[in-house]
Amino acid sequence: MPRLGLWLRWSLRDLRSRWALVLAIGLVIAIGTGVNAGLGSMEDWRVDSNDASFAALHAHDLEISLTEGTTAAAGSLSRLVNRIPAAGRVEAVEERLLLQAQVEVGRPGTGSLLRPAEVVGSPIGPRGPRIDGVYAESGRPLRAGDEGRPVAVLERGFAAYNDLPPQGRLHLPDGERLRYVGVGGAPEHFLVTRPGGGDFGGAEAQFAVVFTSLRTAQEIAGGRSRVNDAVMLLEEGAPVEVVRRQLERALAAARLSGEVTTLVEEPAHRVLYKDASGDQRLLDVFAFLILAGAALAAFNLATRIVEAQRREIGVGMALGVPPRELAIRPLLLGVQIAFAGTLLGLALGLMMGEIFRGVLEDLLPLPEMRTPFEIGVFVRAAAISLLLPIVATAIPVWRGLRQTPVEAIRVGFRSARGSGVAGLAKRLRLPGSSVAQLPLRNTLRAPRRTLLTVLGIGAVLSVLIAFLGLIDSFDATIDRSEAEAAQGNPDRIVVSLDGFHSARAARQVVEDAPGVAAAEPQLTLPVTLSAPGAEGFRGAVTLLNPSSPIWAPTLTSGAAPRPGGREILISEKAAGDLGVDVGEEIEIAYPQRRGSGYEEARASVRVSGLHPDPFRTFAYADSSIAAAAGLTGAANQVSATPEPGASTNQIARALFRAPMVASVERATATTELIRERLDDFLGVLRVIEAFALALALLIAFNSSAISIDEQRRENATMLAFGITPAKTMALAVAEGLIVGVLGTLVGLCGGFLVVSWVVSHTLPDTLPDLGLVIEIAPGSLAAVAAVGVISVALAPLLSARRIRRMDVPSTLRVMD
Amino acid sequence: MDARSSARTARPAPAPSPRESLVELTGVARRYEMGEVTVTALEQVDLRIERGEFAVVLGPSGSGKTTLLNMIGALDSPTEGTVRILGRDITDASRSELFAFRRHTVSFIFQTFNLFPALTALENVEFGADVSGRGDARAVASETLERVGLGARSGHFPHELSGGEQQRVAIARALATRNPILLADEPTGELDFRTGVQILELLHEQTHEEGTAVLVVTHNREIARVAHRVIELSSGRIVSDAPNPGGPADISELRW
Repeated sequence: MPRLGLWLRWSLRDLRSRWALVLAIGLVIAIGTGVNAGLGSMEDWRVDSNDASFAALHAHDLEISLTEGTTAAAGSLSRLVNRIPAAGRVEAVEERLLLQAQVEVGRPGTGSLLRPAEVVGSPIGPRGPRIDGVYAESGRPLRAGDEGRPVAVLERGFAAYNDLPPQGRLHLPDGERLRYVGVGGAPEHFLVTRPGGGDFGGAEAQFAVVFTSLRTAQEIAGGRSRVNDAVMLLEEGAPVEVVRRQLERALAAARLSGEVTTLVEEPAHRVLYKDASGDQRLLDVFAFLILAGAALAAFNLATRIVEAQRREIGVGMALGVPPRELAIRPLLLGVQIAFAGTLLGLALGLMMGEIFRGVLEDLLPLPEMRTPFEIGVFVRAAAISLLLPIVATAIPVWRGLRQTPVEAIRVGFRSARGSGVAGLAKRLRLPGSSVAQLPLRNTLRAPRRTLLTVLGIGAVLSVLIAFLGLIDSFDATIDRSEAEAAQGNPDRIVVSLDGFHSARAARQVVEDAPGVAAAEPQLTLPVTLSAPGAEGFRGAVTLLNPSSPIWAPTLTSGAAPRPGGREILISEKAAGDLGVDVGEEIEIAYPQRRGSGYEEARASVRVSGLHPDPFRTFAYADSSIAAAAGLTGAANQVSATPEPGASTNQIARALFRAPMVASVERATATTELIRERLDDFLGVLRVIEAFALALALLIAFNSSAISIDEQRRENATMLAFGITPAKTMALAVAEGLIVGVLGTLVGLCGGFLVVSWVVSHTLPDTLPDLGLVIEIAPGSLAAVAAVGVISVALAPLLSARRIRRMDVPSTLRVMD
Repeated sequence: MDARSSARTARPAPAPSPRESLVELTGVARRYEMGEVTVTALEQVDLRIERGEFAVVLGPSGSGKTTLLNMIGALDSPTEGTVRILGRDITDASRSELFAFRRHTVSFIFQTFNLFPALTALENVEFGADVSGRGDARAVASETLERVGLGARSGHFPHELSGGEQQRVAIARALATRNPILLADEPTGELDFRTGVQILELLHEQTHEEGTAVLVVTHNREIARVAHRVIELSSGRIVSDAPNPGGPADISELRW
């Protein structure tokens, strides 16, 4: 009886003769498992990096933020904190002054930049601010000696986006000059967000954050010893919510308008953690599809290799070899593929760690990045890569062992296999000669093989179409928002004021600026919109003139808010989320002026109409809300139309030193920021796209190589009858074309389903403020169709040499 | 015509008078380099096959029978000598010329049939007519399939046919090309006696009715009895090439 040694030697000889195929199938599995492991680790990597980064810079546990335009005497907020009952649990408190301003930054060689900015003034200890520390990515951080000096650190994203050097100079509107000594960041600004921009972040591209000392910020604000913010660290285990409620009561008692927020409510913190989990759901879909594609392909390919050994299994049976021993050799093939897949998968998994680390560093500017090799995730993927080829080889072995030895050792016509479902096409008189019909007939003849190949290619292509579909959907959504912001007045600019000012004075300031043709003051208030039975959300309501010659929102249904009618115009997305329609009531919570500060007030308003902007945060109301808020005649924005030929930059420069002006931007600036952010996010998907493409090509090549091997006698017969190798290859290409078309159709359907699922199930959690439009552009469809069809159809050409050099006589005499 | 009835009624054909030479091999040798060893498959082969001739090539395994067939079928080229088919020297013909030559001059029948499993019997035959560029391939295929007695099985796939039926389809495929030379490599090797006789009858009929030159390679001496001419090969050389003494035997007399 043959011993194990013989089977092992035999198997090694098998390996020598087809190592390339074993390696190629191993690579298919490796891409599937490696990408799966890499994508599966993303959430852990991001959460670990977030935790480490927030901890390293002592991110605050609680923050008191006074309402816009409200300040308090320095020391008053610290005293307020120290007087609450749980003051003993507060480990440290620091007062800060946050200012909205414009900055002009010198840029070597390309002129200076003028951008809206936030100046964050914090007390500077020996290593910078103790709470919400500022790290320096390049240059140096702030230190004790910088207190009161015109020295700052510039936010890294802004510097990187605008190619700014690690040190330079900043100019502020009132003539203040700051020297920035480094570029870096702080926990609140790991991700820079702006009001109205949703949770996308990405504002760093056009919004500068300047970290400086508290005294320097106070100097910039006019030299008064005022603060508008306080951050605290609590003792380990301190009841955050209890302390927060006590602080809220203390604020109210001190008649100070503001809010107390926890770290988890901080936009950067909330978005970073929420994105980590939300993005993972999306990545899991891609990871599953890549793995499924690889699994189907590997299963198909391994099965087809072992099918070729069935006759040898039969011969062994005829010789009386026990079935369990006969199974050893083909199963060893599975083991070889499994090992190749696991080893390559391990290498690829480690490589993915490096690739995704780079992608994450671009996406998440965190001071601490943690991308360790996630053993657990990889072991899960490796288990699949080990099991898959063994199962794939076990099935044909089992089928081979079920046949009788007589059947197994039959040669020639007696071993002829069935025609699959080719019979379905025999009554169908297709155009073209019998030669031309061969490709279709061959695909029908082996339906299982065709199906597995089609599904494998389809799964991988669905990743590509999903990727492109998501980009198209984002683009279509942002285009819609941009079109709404620019409609009727594409050059419109928005001038943000540094607080609430007289509307008349604000209009005058802007209209007086050179290059401004017309201006209209606006009042935009932060609001929370809610309705019974629906989860409320934060937004901004702009009180505007519905018959404004400068800009008014488009109406998709209903009407503009009537003056004095306590009505509101909300987006279709907001109406959908709140479950209301035109004519129904919703509740808004808005700031109401009380003495020198603001308190939250609530009002029930009627939905007068809907607008098409996909951002649910944008709402518009009549001026009666201004009266209710105690802000009649006030404005904090001015919408303006430039004169023909005047640029936003020219107007921004003209208004740089104007009183009350904080920033000047194009009306479409928010959507431009979102596009920037989207590009960063797409970096992750581009890695997947590259691997999906490689996988599709590998599957196509392996499948065609095995097909050509399986059909070698048919090819030899054609060559013997005088059909040229070129035509024989053309038939193989046509067969590939059919499989490619079918695979692409499956991929397109699968991709559309994935995009629909992501848009309707994942993104509402990740990006709740955005009503994404599902769109797959014809260009994307054409691109994926081209990749799918062309790569699979042309794959046989890689085996052209085998056809050209085929030993026709020997092949024709093969008895199998 | 039913192949079985034709087998019973077939009479020995008279030896052909000198006619047009279709195949002419002069001083043909074929050697293969196998590492440091040179294997001689054919040596100094001179051979002439005429239109309407039914020739059988006999010889043991390794004698060069198949190599000879491959030379005539333009599947292989000689190391020495010339191969002329229909008066044209194909020894130095280009690849594309050889492919065209195969499409229009020779057709093959194989021991293992080599039918296309995804095509029906009719479509397999149609393939032969298609590649040689015959006018209405479908009509030619139907007619040829009827001729080999398989008109009723035209819609069946190869795996639905018996071995004899499959080989008859293969013959019909070769006949449908209407090419003047038919090369058969062990055409009855896979078949039982009864079916083998039917196949020989079909080939014989082709030489008589269409004037096709049929060259059959076999190791079965019994088959040689029905040939006009028997060529024996040994170690790559023609050791005997002569008409059947007393003329071809009646196919019904064959036994193996």
